[in-house]
Amino acid sequence: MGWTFEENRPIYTQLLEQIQMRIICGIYAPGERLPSVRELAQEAAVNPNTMQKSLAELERTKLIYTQRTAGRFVTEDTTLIRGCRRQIAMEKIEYFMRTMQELGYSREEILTLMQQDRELAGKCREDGFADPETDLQGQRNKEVRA
Amino acid sequence: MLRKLVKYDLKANYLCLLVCYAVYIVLTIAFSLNIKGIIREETAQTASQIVPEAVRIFMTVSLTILWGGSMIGLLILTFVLIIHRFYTNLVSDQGYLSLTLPVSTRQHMLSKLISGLLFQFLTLVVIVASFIIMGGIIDILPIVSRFGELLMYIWEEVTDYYGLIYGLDMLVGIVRGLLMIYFSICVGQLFNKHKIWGAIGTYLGLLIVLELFVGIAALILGITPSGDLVWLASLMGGSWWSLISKAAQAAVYFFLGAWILEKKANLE
Amino acid sequence: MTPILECRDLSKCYEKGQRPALNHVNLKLQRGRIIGLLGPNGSGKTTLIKLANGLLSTETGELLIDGKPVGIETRRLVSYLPERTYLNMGLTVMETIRFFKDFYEDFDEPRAYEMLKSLHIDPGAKLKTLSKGTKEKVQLILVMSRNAQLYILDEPIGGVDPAARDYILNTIITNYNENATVLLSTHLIADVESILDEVVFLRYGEVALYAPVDAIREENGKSVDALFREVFKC
Repeated sequence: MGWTFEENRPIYTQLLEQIQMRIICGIYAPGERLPSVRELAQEAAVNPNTMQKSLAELERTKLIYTQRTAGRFVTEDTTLIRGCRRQIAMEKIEYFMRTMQELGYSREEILTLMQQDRELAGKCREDGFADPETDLQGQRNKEVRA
Repeated sequence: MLRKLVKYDLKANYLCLLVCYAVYIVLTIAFSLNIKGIIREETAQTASQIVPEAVRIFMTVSLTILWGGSMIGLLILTFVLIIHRFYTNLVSDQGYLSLTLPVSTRQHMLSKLISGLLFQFLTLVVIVASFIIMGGIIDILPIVSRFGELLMYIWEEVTDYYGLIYGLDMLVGIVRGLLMIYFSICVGQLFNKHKIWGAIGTYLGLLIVLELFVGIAALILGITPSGDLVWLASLMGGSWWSLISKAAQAAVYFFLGAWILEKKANLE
Repeated sequence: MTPILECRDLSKCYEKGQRPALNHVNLKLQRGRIIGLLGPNGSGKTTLIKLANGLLSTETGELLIDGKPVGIETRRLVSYLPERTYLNMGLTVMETIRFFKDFYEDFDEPRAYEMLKSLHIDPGAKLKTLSKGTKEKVQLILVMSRNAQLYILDEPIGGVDPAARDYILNTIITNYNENATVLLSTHLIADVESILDEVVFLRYGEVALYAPVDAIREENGKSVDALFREVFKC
């Protein structure tokens, strides 16, 4: 998972989201020690102070915590992580629904459309094509394990 | 820090000068051997049987010109290298490095002065050595003894009270001469455009003003009640007055030059 | 804490009667920041940098580094990369490293060699035999190998290829310590934006804007690069 930044928003918020995402996906597992600020900053090619600020904010939300000498760790509280995941999922759904409604679809139409999409994906699998979504998921899991 | 500065100043030019010294010494040897051949009758006769007269004359003339030219060239080159080092190292692109080192501009000036004097001294030594070599090769008493006489004469002059001042005066004169050039280059920096012309103009201006000043002073002071012109001669050189005036000038050039580099730096 | 660099009503005019290159600049740069010095050509960036290094004389106002006027003391604290090649081209890379070690107590020789190795530069090569881009890399390596308080980099990524650019930016992030400030001037804002804390916009010798990068992005909803293009639109 690389670090990418959009032009029109503060880098600090984007860093925050991306680290959060990594924790949710398990790239940074619960209880795992995070790389140092400097290492993270270098990896993301951002200013160490900005990275520091994002981590401090994540600490405020309890997703990570600092042990005075040992460094920063991901929380062991998986409920918290799941809650965070759920929250992001809801935000994404809300955003998606809004866009779809702007396109003129009603809630029911959206649901039918999604159902049709699932069937199409299933048919692909029967025809011997790889399902793009699960394939991607598999690859991601592999990455995570590596 | 000063030692390091001098080290790098010497390092910058020593190779070029060493090569030139070597070339000059080789030319001296060739020239001396040729003269030796001409002077000795027996060799001259054998030579005239083998080599045509015209060729020998051509060789002698060209060797003389080459040798004489190389000696003058060596003196000029020493000077040019010293000036070039000051210019490139302090006020051209390299000045961006030199002038941002944690070193005072006085140390820079002093380093350039020491290295410059050292190179001038070295050139002088090489030229004296070349005469000794020549004397040794040609191996004829008149020239060697003449040279010995000259050295003795200088020695007497220096040991003599009057001569000592003369020697000191010359030394301070060399220091002043070098600092005058450095100072002119510094003043050239104050111009926004034409910095080199500014430096040359300053140098010529200083030269003219000083000579004029000395000349007029000599004329005024020279007309002493007794009517002799000892004053004039003593102002020109070899007197306490001359010594003090040159030392004072050198000091002014040194401190003012360093001050310009420090406070009025104006690198392009 | 005293700011690492402070300008108090600083002005500089090259020639009488002409528009000043710097016009009553007031600026306080704090420690531990990476600060971009941005502005179109002729806005006074290089003038400010030269003044901070004592290569130009201040006329009116003051420029203080760590609370002290520019002099030997401040030169010890500042590591300066000019926008031109300023090394003795007759020396080899190794000799130049030796030179820096001789004169700067804070020079970290192993770090310099390590960086040379990562950029595949032969320490035995004479500087004049290197390409322009490689010379620039060598200069940056030398400047970043010092443990200075203030790094002043004038167009550090101007002439190098994108791969080296990434390496250089990385070097800047990793090599400066928490108490040091990096002030870098550049035209290539988009390339450096993510490593900057703050930016100073200069226009006609005046400070048009001095703000944190994220504050600019938040307030304007656009990158510093985009804002710059808008502000300085021709």
